[in-house]
Amino acid sequence: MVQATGNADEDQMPLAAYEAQRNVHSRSQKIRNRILANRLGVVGGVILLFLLFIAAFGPWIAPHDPLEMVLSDQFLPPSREHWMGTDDFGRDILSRLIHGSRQSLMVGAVSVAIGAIVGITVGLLAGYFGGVFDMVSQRVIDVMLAFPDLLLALAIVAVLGPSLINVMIAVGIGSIPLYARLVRGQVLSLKKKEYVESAHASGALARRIIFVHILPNSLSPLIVVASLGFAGAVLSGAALSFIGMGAQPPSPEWGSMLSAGRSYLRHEWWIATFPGLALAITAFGFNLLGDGLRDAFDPRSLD
Amino acid sequence: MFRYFIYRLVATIPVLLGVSVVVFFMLRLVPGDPVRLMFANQASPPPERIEEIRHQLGLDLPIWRQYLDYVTGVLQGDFGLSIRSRQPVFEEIVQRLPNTFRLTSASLAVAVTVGILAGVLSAVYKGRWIDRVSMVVAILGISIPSFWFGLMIMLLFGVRLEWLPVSGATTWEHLVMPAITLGLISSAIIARLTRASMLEALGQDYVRTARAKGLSGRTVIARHALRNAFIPVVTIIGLQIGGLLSGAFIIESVFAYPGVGQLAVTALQARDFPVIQGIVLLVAVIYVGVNLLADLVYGFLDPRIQY
Repeated sequence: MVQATGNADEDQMPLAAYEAQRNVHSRSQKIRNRILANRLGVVGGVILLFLLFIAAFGPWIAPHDPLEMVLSDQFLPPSREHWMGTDDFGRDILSRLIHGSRQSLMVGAVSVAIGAIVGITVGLLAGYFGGVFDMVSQRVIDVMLAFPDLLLALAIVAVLGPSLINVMIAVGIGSIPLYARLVRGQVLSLKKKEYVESAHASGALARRIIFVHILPNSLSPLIVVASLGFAGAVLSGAALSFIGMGAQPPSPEWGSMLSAGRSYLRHEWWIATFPGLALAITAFGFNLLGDGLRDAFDPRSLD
Repeated sequence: MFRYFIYRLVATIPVLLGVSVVVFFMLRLVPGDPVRLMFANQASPPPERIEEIRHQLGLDLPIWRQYLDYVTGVLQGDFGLSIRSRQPVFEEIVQRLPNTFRLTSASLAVAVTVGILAGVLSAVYKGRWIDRVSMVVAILGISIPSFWFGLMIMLLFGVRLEWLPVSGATTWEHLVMPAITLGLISSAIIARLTRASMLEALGQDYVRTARAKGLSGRTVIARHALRNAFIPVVTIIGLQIGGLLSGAFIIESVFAYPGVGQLAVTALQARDFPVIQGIVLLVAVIYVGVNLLADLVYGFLDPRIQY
């Protein structure tokens, strides 16, 4: 931003640089204050830190082996020894949930990464260069959007075959249109901004304009969408595992644990209850955070 | 208006073509031979028998011919035979379609009623307890895995209290729990959008003018703000129908509800590709149609849209 103004008008550079610096500083400060002021957003952040902690130190926290079957301990209700009870194979549910947190966070992270990387690339190229690539990519996205929500992911998993990796790929591909459309829209509006036009006029390369001027300025909506998308991806992944298209037994993935607990709902309610609760808390955390970030980044609320 | 209608109608043709290409290639992209896939659960037939089946199915023709044959077949209601039941796929789907329509319409009714009511109340009483509570509940609504929510209310109202039947689709009571479960996410999404859209409308000059004229608060909200706030809500409702149709895949199998979704999940588990292809194609076409309709209603509601 500073560079662009500086190149365009040498005399005013110090003042412009100072102004830009000051604005950036007070803007990020405002955003920070807003994030902290948004209590629900902070709650979301705390939930996430907690989950990350559990996923990172799971093997040391978990009281039991998540895969060890103790047939004499089948169907034990929640107790001091087994806080969340045991399942049909006598495995400790709490320990399985702790280990499964890695899988759920991994599904979220990998799907969002696939969707965001491909989507952002397509959106940037389509928005910046326009032309044939834009036309073709937009028509492809139109077709992808004709498959509602889970349907595209379901179709992809049907082709690739059931496994947790394939679920991540399928959910990731399903979210490409979201990022591509968002970034393309951002690029189209940013392209008309004066600082981008002046950077262009001063002979900056397309690559430089994209990475220095356009991408950083589209980051805030992207972070919001990624945070909300993470929650969605965790839930979609679990839903696919729930119908048997994702993680396979004996994996402690939450969706497949829930699915296994279905048959024992009538008497051993704890087997299906706790994995669902874990999923809900995870998605709740990411949704709260995404909402909080959206409010914090909203330029209308900053002015 | 008429030109807009024609424009939107023409714009869906390439989308539908694209959808048919994707669905057609689903089977071709599966690793392994489609014919062997048909005999996945049985001993492999002799090679000459495989060649014979390939010929019967037209799999020895050039790919573009296969695609053309596929599209012509689909247009005539020929979706092929189910690998599992050897029945025509089209008939299997059509038999179950009314159940799924019933379920999705009931969910849509739940979602629209709850969503719009909660959204309007939250906007009118912004910052008060009703707004805070409904917005936190709305975030919960999009966070709770719907299949788990379904199991939990099944446990409470079906197993413990025995108020409602836990599975099947014979009476309207069978519809209550699946419809609420399926409508949960959509009501949350509609509530959030209605609130935002309503807040924007309430801040507009024409609402201030209406108030200044001395109209009652109720009239201002219903006649001036709500009408304009509805425009984006109509679009999101169109999009939600897609969410409901694909959500039905999971929820129908939770409640053993004999709809298209349950058929799809069974077909997925058995890798019964003709059935999967047929359902994916049908749901996508319905979805494209619903969105076209939503866009037309949008054009009708908002006279500023012109082509």
